[in-house]
Amino acid sequence: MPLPTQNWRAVTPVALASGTTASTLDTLYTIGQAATYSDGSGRTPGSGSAWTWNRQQIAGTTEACWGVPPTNTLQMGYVVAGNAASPTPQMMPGIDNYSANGLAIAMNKNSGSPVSFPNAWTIGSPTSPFGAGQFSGYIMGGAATTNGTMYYWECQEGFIVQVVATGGASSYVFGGGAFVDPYSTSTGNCESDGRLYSVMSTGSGRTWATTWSASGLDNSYGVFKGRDLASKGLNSRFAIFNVGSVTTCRQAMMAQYITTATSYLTPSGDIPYLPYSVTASASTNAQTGPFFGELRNIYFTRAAAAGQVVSNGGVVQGYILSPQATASNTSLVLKY
Amino acid sequence: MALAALNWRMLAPIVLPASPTMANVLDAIYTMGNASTYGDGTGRTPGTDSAWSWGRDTTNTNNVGVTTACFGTPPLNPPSGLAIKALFAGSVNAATPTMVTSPSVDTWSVNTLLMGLCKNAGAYNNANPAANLGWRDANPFTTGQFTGFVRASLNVTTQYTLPPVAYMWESQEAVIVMLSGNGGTSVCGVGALLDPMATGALNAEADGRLYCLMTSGGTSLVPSTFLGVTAAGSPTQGGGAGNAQHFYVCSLGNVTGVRNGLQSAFYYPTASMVYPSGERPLEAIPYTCNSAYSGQLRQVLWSAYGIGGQEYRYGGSTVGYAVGSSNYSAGEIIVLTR
Repeated sequence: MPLPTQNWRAVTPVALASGTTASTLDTLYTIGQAATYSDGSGRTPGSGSAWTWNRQQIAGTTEACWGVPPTNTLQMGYVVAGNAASPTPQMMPGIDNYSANGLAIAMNKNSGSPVSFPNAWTIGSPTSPFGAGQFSGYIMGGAATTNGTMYYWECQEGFIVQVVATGGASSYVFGGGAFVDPYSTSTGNCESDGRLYSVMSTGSGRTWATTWSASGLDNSYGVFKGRDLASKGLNSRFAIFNVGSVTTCRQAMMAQYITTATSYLTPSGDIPYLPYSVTASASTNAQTGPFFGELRNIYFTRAAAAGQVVSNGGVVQGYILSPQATASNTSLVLKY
Repeated sequence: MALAALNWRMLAPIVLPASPTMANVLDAIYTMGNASTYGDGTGRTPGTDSAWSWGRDTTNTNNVGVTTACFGTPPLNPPSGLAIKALFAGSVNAATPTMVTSPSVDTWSVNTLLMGLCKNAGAYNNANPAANLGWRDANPFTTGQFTGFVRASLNVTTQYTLPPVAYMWESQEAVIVMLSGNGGTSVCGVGALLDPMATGALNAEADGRLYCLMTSGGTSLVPSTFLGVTAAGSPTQGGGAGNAQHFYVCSLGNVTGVRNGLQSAFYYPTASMVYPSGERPLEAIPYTCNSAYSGQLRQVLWSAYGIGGQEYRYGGSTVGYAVGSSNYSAGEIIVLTR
């Protein structure tokens, strides 16, 4: 049985005040308080698709934003954090090191109710910043030294942030949520609530490669595209929590390769929605097992530019997630 | 809006004689097509559920007294009346049947299985063998739009050996045939294999379907990895040169042409690419035709490694059937779900 349909929504993009971690995090926090979506419809944190976002400030400077999804069976909490120093937060074992001015992303399950964030985001192992439950450790996200415009999309169980650099020629992405539908409730395939929880990023100090989904380019940085161990701290990540009360994760990536053109539409001119299958990735970058499932209401589609809205007859159909605002590349569509 | 799900069923395979004749292969298709039970022992009535109805041509002047063609009618010809017929043919004697000439040119070859499809088809034209050419006619079904033949195998007498086995799977609107032995495997399929996933005159035939010919071709066997980029002999990839692998999609409307279909995405599954529970992934295969998205295969899905001819069961229930490069060695497969 498929999990419930996710309804992706977009908040109006916001220009960063500067390319710093504090500015980036403050922008995420501000977006998370929005009362309306970009299409003018109302937004109430904690309901519909709207996440609830809070922040942690140290001496008046924002160092972490933590978010809670409106649908949250397993009491998930997600945190995006960083500062200009060289802290030693709990990193995902064997995956990334923290680098100053970077963004770190992590998740926590069984956080308690309501989800809280009582500890410093840098607190040492085995204590969770969320105070309870299982903390994944951080993966590295983009370089917060990038100035530009922040795009934010959210659904009942996931959020995605894209910072498009000034000029639009590059971007980085991070996100978290129950992105994968395992389409199976057999033992080992999913958590007790049928979900698989994850965090993802285009990597530490990396921008989203335009060739990210092409065959033979497993090493090309992309979204929902991770790998184990190799080149620690340099690669795009897609970490899926192992099921149960554990803190460990597996790296995952797409199980197919595809490159689309702007002409890749149905003959009648509609955009296609191609499933994004997810399987584990190996240290050699190759796809391996186990197989995890498909992204939820996120699909490959025609080549498009970042920030585009897909509409048909004036009705929003979805939002484009793509590497560049200045050119059309193989992209994903987040279905409305 | 997706089309109705197809329910694939597997006929009991037929072991062919060593060095089988063309007639042996066609008779196997005919025999499986007239079986009263499926491979799992359940009942089968041609013309109902997933069961096609099959006839054969044993009076063709090309080779009187032996089978030179089998023609099949699906149980579900859609409400719009796009009467479809599938045709398999071949002979030890030379012939000049209508072959597909575009986008690629396939040519006649003795002892090679040929496959074609006719939309809005009339009856198979062999009522008067002395006068009717049957499968060798410009349109073997007299009326409608015949695609012409593509090669659906290599030389059946010399290629599929020790022992050669004929497999057939059928659903309400499509059929797939596999010839396999120690010498290798060929796979072909015909019918409404693609779901355009969209309605409208530009996207599909009047009945909402896309009719297709799928073949590993007559120049290469199915490789153990056929779901990835440009695999010669891949039944799913399409795009081959003349006589090679094709995935053809019938041009829309009352025209006879076909268009190149291509897998939109590429896959490199492994034996370990299964769920943690051990279950198989069953994932859609989307297609591109003339640079446009053209939908996805209907209940024909990629999965982890397997062996062609195998049946997959979970919890005592049949989930689907494997079609692949070998009937004894694991490799990439497609799974036809029941």
